[in-house]
Amino acid sequence: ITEEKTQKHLPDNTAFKQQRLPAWAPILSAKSTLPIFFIVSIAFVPIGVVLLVTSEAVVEFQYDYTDCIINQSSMTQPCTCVINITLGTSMDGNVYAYYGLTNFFQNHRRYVKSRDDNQLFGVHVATTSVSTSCAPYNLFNDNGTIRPIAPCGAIANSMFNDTFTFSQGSAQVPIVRTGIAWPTDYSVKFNNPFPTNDLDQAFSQYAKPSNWQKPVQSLDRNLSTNNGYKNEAFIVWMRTAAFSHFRKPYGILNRVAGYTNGLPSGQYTLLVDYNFPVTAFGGRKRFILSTTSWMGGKNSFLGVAYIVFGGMCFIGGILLTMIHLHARNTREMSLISRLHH
Amino acid sequence: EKWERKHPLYKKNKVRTTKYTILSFLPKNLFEQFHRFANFYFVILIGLNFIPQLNVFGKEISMLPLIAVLSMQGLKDALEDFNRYKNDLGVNNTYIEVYQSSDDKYHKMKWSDLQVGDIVRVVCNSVIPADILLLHSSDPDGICFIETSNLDGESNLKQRMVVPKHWGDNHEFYPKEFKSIIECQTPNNEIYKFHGNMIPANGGEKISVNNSNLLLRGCVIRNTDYVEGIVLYAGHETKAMLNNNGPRYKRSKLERRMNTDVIYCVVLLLVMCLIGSVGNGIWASNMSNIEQAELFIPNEENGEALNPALSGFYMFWTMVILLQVLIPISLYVSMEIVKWGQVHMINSDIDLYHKETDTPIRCRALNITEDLGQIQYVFSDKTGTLTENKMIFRRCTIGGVDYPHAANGESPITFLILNCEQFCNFCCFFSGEYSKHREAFSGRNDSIRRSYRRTQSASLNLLGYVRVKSIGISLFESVCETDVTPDPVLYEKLISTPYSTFACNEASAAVPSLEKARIWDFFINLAICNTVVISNDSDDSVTASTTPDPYSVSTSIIPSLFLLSTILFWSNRHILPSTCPPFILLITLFPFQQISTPGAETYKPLFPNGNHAIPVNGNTNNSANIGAHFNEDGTGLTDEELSKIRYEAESPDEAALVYAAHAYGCVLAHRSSHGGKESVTITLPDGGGKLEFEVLHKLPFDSTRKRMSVIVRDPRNGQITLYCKGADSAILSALRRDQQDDVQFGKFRLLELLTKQYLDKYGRVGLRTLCISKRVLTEAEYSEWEQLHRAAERDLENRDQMMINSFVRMEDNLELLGATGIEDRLQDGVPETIEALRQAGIQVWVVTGDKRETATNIGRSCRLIHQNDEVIELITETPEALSELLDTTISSQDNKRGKLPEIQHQTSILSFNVSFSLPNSTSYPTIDDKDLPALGQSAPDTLVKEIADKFVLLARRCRSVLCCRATPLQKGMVLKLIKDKLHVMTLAIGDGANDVSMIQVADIGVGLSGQEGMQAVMSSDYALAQFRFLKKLLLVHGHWNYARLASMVLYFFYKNAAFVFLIFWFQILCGFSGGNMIEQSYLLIFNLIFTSVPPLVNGVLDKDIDAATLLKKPELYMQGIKDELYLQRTFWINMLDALYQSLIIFFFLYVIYLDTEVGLIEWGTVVTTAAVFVILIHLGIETKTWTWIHWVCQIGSVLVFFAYSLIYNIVCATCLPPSNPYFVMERVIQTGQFWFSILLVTAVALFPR
Repeated sequence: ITEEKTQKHLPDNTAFKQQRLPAWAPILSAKSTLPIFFIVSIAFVPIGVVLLVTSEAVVEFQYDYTDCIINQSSMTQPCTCVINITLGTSMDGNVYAYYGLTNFFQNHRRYVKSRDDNQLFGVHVATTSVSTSCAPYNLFNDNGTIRPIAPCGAIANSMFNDTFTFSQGSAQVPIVRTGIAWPTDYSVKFNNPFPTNDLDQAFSQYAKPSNWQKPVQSLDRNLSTNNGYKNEAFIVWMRTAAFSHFRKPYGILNRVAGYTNGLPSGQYTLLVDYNFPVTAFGGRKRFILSTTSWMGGKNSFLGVAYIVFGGMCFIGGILLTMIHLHARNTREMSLISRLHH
Repeated sequence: EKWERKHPLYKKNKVRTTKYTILSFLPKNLFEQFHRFANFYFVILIGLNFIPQLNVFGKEISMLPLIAVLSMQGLKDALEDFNRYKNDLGVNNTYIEVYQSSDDKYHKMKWSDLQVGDIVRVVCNSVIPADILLLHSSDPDGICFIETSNLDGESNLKQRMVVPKHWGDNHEFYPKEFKSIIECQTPNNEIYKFHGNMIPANGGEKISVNNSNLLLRGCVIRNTDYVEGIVLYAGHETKAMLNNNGPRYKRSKLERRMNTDVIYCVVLLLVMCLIGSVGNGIWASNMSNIEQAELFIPNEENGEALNPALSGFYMFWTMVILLQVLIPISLYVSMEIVKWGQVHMINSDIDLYHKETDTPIRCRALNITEDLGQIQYVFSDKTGTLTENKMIFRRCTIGGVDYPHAANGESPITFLILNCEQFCNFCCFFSGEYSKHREAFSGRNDSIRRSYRRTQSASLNLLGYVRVKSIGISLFESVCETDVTPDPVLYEKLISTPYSTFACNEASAAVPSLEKARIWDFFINLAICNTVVISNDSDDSVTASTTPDPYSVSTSIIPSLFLLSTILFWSNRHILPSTCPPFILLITLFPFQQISTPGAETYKPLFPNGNHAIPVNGNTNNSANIGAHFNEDGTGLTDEELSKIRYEAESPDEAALVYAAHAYGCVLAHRSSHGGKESVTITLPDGGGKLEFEVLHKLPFDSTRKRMSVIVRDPRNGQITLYCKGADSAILSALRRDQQDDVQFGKFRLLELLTKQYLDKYGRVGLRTLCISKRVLTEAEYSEWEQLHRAAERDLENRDQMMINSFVRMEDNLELLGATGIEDRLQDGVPETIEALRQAGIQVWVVTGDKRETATNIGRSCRLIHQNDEVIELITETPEALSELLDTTISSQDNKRGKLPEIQHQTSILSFNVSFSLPNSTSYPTIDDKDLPALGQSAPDTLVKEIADKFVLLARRCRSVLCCRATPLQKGMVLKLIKDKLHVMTLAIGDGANDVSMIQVADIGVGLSGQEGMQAVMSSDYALAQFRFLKKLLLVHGHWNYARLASMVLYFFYKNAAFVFLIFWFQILCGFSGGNMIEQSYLLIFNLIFTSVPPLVNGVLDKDIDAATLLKKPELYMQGIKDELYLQRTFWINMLDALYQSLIIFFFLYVIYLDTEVGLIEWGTVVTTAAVFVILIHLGIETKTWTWIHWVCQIGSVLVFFAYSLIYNIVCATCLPPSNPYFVMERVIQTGQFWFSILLVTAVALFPR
């Protein structure tokens, strides 16, 4: 008892408090670092090879049609141009159609901000309280009556509105424009306002974005369910791209009769409804057809980087081993020579 | 009739030390917090974010970091405050007896209800509730004793006096009749100063009251049954509360360095913002030429395109908000947390726990843990710091004869050690074993070792070192402090001639009896010339509560052989060789176990047969020994009492001398004062009866005279005698020179010479010396002096000066009796510690008030001065001479240096030593003032400056410096001089009030909670129990904390920079628009959650080198001294690292995801994930030791990141516009591209590491 009493300030003698926890202390020495070089190279080079092979297996076709029409100045004046395309190799499996834009800064801060997620969620936004983040694309002065724009904001206003008609001979290649948006976006984030079964009524209070040719409820004339905010092309556009050089899915090859295995090689015709102006700001636009792999689209960089890095590790490892052995040899030599003297 | 009980002017006694109340907490705490730069910075950023043009983040989420920081800090403050509140509650609700006039009785009342003007009664051993003027004491002499340890830590009893009676001498004090007006000072914090007047209500003379009448709050009443007094100051106005300062705030060196780097970060931030702003302007002006630019640059709300210049300006501030993380605000919070953890770790170190006094280390300053790792100069006090400050009377010389007291202070076990080689071997073996590390036990298969291992329990194995060691100490303390074994020769001489034989006429005594008379005078001087307070042991509570019982250690659990041998090992260092045979071992074991039961009753003779062969039983309790001795002589009427007498002295020297006299039978038995007459009673040996001396005057000790005296009337012949003792220089200079008779003179000269010789000898073996002298006065001489003295006392203008002059006049013509040698034993482990500190590259200075000889000896014995060190002594009388001496020394040093071409550092290669004596601080006030200020003070002398410069120049070349004869102020000045001139990190360690100035000036002040009270501890940053703990504190904890904090700070800079660079690179891709691919909540809580815990864990737990190695190789400490772990270079290397890694992460991922359908936030998520991986693994590589905690935190952080992002991305479909990361993470982790990119990027980014 006395012992306890006199030692009431005695610190606990635990491994933690005395800083004696069992610890693993890795020591960097030639013996422990050299194997790391080789292990990394052995792991990375094969991965790189696999990735490269996968990437090479993807067939991709791109066509830059920016200059097919000169003097396009407005999004609202449609023009068309016809482009002949030759597919050298067949595209097996699922084939995706993309449009690619260059020098279009979808990542600009004020551009990215210029949207109203609540509006797109299907919440009726009263005339006066459209999100100010959409400004100046939030309200439309229609002969004195001010109406909110649906969908508001710069992103929506600048939506890509070229259309592609892709045909082989006289037969149109079936490219459907659904299934390109994220399922979660389609089912959760984007909802039409009430009443959802009568979009004309639902959007009757709203004005269309100034750059748009058609109001939002009639974006897709072929498929009535693909309209309003739930238009997949619109949803895809609303997901702003990371860089100014990007592509976005346009549609998927419907693998029905004649295209069950994908897109065979041969002559095709591409009819473009040319609306979207890019030349003014030095942009380019492309039409892209591509198959995919489990790694996504065609991108050889990843595979090459793996191989190069693995290779560098290997070379570095060998060099260091040689230096290490040399150093040891000279040490031994000097030791031996000292012994001899 | 009730005196102003509810006077609004006076505070109640209720104390509230809390900072906040429940109501005021929120506003007050917030107000305080916003005073901090960091929080203010956050607020500005949030404000900026609210400007629409700059808006980067969602408005709510931008407040998240601030709210997190504020609430964490607030929580901490609230908890601390709550603890204070609980303490207050306990104090306020203590009960005290208060007089109530309504029924003329004392009633119990809470402390908090006490008021100024209340009359209270405080009983023995209870705490005084407020500052009380003492009106009545149960003691008939009207005195009372208080213990002030709660206030200043001094555990000796102090005497307080009742205010002189003014209500009539004849009857007791009745509160009802007490009607006086008291005038006193407004409340102040000077503990030792108080004066006021008491004006009796019935007219009459003012009675002045002073400090000696005041009982201070927090003190404890001792040895007095009860006291009554009137409350003068209550509650917060008491001197104790006014002295209550908060913890000290110091800024560490690392922190100062860090702040410059923070400024670099600010500059970097501004540069980046400027680049962004200019880039934006250029980009926008390019775009403004283009018609269709509004496609992706939305116009302003008014529909106009934004002016490029204005846009650039906005961009600047946008970038400030966006890149705010670069200023590592979180670093400050993290450092606070880490330091708190480090302090906790230091506090709980069992190796820094002193078992005997039950004191662990206490860190009083919370924020300079890492400074411990960068100390360059250690300034140490000597007495009580290097030494134990437990004085042992070791030898004396009387009348020119040396009495060596050969058996003294050496308890039989220490006799043993030197002769038992086997034991020695064992001990050395054991200690070596310990230092090798406990685990090493299992290493080799030595049969002996195994057998020892069997005898030790596991816990012993871990604790044995500390525990056993402290048993050793406690044993010696108890033995040494009180136990003096008389020298047989001297004792024989003393008792052979009874004192009474000298009664009549000293002058007629023959030569041999002159010697004996001297011996008698010598012991009487020892017994009465002092200010010790006598207390009886029967008053258990005093000793039990103030001094820890040294015997309370149960020894039975330790195998006795092991115990003893270890004690032997640890105690053998300073013991002189002796020839006692080993078999005493068995005998000594016996008293050990006897004593080991606590309590006063057990102080009984251990050798009941009354063995009066004195030296053998040196380790038995002294009082018992004496008691036994007296018993045998059959006189012992007061033996019991005598043996129980304990002395409380202001200085341990005094106590040692009184105990020495006690051992020879001259027992200071009683002190009394009646009606202004003071008297001292001593009892004589061999039943010589009592002797009562009337004390005519006390000439108290002061540091200028360095001696004290008493003037008494000898009861034998009524002669007036002055007994004086003091420092040798002080006494020898005042000896009697006016010898008429040549023979007589020759004898005195001889005596003086012999004594001097012995003094030197004592000094050489490290004893503190005091000279003992007396002077016989004629009545005429005395009355003449007394008149002058009275005049001096009355002098109001320079009373102090006059008094000293008067004292000096009296203390003249002294007759030398002899001298004493008192040992102040070195503390355990001091030489080893000093050695280690020096190896660590720390310069150790010893600054002491002692004289040179003693100091040099201690210096040698504690290995401050090595045998082959060159010692430079700078001792001169005048500053001019000192200046010259310094010149010559320096030039001779320069010559030597010329011969050694390769000297970069003056520290290690030149190894010599300076014993620097501040010239003539012993001077009397009469001596020219010019001599006094050796270093600085206010002297306008350019010479002083010059000396200081030269001294510093010389001192920095020395390995160690010993400063002697330093006054407390000079201690601080020496330190300040070095600190200012050399810009070095200094640590001061000391134990007494005289070290306070030094401790406060130093970067780190360490206080030893030793014999001399708590003043040093109160002003220190760290409180230790023993000097040797400094070794581990500096070498291990200091190094660790420095290394930890350095790497943590660097890591934070790196981490924030890496993350911010990523966003900066993105500006190139998004047209310098302030765009941001990383989801905003990630951006804001990245620091707060994802990467915060592992660096904190590292900051508290990482060990770059293990403790055993650090202790074994003190040179490793140099890293801290040279600041190697946190250089400007390392900062920039870390920044470059951040740059490289961010470039790899960013551009690899850019190339991989270029021209794909990847969304902004999607890509940002990939980048964030890569950054989390890279930054955490980077820390992993930096981590030196991995414990399970590290693993948990590292893996936990990654898991938390994924868990957070997965959950956050699924719960909310429309929150946090514009980034709105719904389902992003879920989708991203399904792609192979993501995983392979992360793997590649992480590997490449970290490969250089």
